[in-house]
Amino acid sequence: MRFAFTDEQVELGAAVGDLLANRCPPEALRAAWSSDDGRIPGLWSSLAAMGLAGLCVPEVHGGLGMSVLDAALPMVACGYAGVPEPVVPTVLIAPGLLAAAGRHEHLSPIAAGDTTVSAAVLDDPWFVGADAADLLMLVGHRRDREMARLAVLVDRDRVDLEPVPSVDGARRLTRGVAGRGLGDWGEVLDAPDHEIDRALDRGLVGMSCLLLGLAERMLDLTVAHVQDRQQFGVPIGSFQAIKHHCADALLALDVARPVVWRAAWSLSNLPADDPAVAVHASMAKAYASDAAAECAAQALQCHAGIGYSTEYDLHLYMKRVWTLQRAWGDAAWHRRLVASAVIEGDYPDHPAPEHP
Amino acid sequence: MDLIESPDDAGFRRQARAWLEENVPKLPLPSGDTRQGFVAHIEWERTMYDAGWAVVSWPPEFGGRGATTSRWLIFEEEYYRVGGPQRVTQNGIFLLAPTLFEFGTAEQQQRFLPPMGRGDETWCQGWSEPNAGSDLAAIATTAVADQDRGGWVVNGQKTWTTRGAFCDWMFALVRTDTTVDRPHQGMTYLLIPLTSDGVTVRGFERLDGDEGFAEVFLEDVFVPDDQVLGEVNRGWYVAMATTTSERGLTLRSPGRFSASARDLVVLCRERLAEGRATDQDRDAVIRAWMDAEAYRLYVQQTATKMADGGDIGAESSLNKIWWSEMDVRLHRAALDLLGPEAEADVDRWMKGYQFALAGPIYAGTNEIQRNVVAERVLGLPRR
Repeated sequence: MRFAFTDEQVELGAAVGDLLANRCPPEALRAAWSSDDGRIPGLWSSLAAMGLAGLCVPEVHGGLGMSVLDAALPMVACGYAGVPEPVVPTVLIAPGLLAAAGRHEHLSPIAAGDTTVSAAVLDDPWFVGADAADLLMLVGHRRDREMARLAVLVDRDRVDLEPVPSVDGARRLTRGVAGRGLGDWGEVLDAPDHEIDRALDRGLVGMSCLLLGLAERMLDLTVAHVQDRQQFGVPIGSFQAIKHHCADALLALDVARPVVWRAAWSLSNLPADDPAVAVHASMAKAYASDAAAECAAQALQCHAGIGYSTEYDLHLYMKRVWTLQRAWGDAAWHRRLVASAVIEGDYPDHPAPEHP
Repeated sequence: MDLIESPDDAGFRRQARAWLEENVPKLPLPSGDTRQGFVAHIEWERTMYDAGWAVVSWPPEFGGRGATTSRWLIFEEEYYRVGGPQRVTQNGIFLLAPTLFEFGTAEQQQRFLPPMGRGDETWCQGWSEPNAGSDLAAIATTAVADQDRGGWVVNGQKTWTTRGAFCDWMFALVRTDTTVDRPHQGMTYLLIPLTSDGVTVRGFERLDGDEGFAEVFLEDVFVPDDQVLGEVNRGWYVAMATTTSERGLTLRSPGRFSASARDLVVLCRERLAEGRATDQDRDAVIRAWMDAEAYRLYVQQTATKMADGGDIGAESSLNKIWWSEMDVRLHRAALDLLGPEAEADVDRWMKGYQFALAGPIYAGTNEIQRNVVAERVLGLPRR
């Protein structure tokens, strides 16, 4: 039993964080809000050049062949920077699913940074950044895991993409409209159900990592602010009410982290058809969503009037949280999935698996 | 990262499980916070100690198995899984013992640890006073040096002393220098026999009606020099080592909450089968189950950190806030499932609820813990 990242994993996360501190500062994010495609010019090729795009693409296809666990800290770094790029679908969802469906021809372009993916996941009705993406995918199952899985490589010629506004100016949403049959959307991928489930779970874990990073960013902004901001002649961070807000934010974040790491570990180490993986992924999304929402709420309250303006950076991260916390199932939705496994299902009562 | 138990750890788990399943009393013992129940619990502690299972993390020379934090967590999981009795020796074995290992002399360790482990000498914690609860540094009990007799003369009063009416010894913080600038200085950590002349103990009822509390009055009580733990006037710093254990892992390991969460799931299934659980109940139950699981993972992460030579320090306050508030939510979920029947469930969930309500209060209120987190983990200004 060892519950810690390796030095290499930590270094990879820090390297991505360093690049993003430079290439994706708040000013760049603001510029993305008013750009045509909501993205930062050249950022994806820089990330691809350091290996992020092909992190989970097998080496024979030009990727790094790493695990979801290896990808966790780089994903947190992306969240921390508020990266407005399609990281989770491109890095975590698509490669494994395309490989499982025998569509290897897309893997090298993904690893090279030439192909990005936008995915409509579960029953969320829209694509993010569809215009700028090279591949569109539908992944999921409707409402709950009892129903049929589906994975579709969308054919743009058969689908109308209607723009939809987003509270987060860097998320360019479109609603896809097509005929009623799945075949009306494009090519239905031939992948086993459990591979589609794991692709979804990788997406959930990736999303959870982004949320952890966003939570961390907002807490850092808040801690710096309350030490600096003076009222009644003292820093407001010396007031107990402010301290307790900050402590609550940290507690939510700190408890969520190992839940997310465990899900990343399970996806990387348990058999693909092990039903525990889905429970772990849903727990991750539930805790990360709640933690980020808690940090967002406490951050705004501690920043008070200063935070209640788009001139200050907090809103860039807070609004992203409002979108991601509800995307692909909010905390309550994922708790219902866990409840079905634990209360009605046969989730094992004993936690620790043994080495065979 | 490797979240699979090693073959050695799995073997330890099987060994612990086999012994516990064979030996844990089949019928629940009367509450250890009553006089009669306390005696029954001490007998159980002796059985465990004699078989080497009472203090698994202690070195073998003191009756333990030298278990690492991970192994100790496994033992705790197994202990609560089979419904092991509450540990009435906990203030000694989990709070004082770590301090004795860190600050005690070899003679003190020899003298106090084995009888503590076996339950032959039982310990209560003498910190809180009527005017020093959260503000622990405000203690007014004094000890004055008596050089002729080679010791200290203690005067004052301790209160909310858990199981004080049944214990033999008390580890206490007292003021030995009243001229210091800062209240945290000038305190000393003393080991006081409750059988000494001048000690009066008055038990009183806790919220749940058990005589689990005591007031301890100290009038000219003599304590010899060899019962000072650590340096004179450095008692605060010695005490803080104990509070880290208390707020952190040792007082409330995850095994206990995992077991309660499983019981809660069973209760929920029964109520669902009877059509008497709402969606709101079900959500509260799964939240509690997930929170216990999250705590288990959180502590595993801490155990790895400790195995790597790290220290939990002020982060133990995060731990304490989490488990104490989770325990309240868990029991509240059970009472809500029981509905009007909760009122009558006095020996089980209502009892547990009343115990859980103490969690955010003892070992430093959660308001104090949040201050510690903000100041010492996040670095916010003290004043």
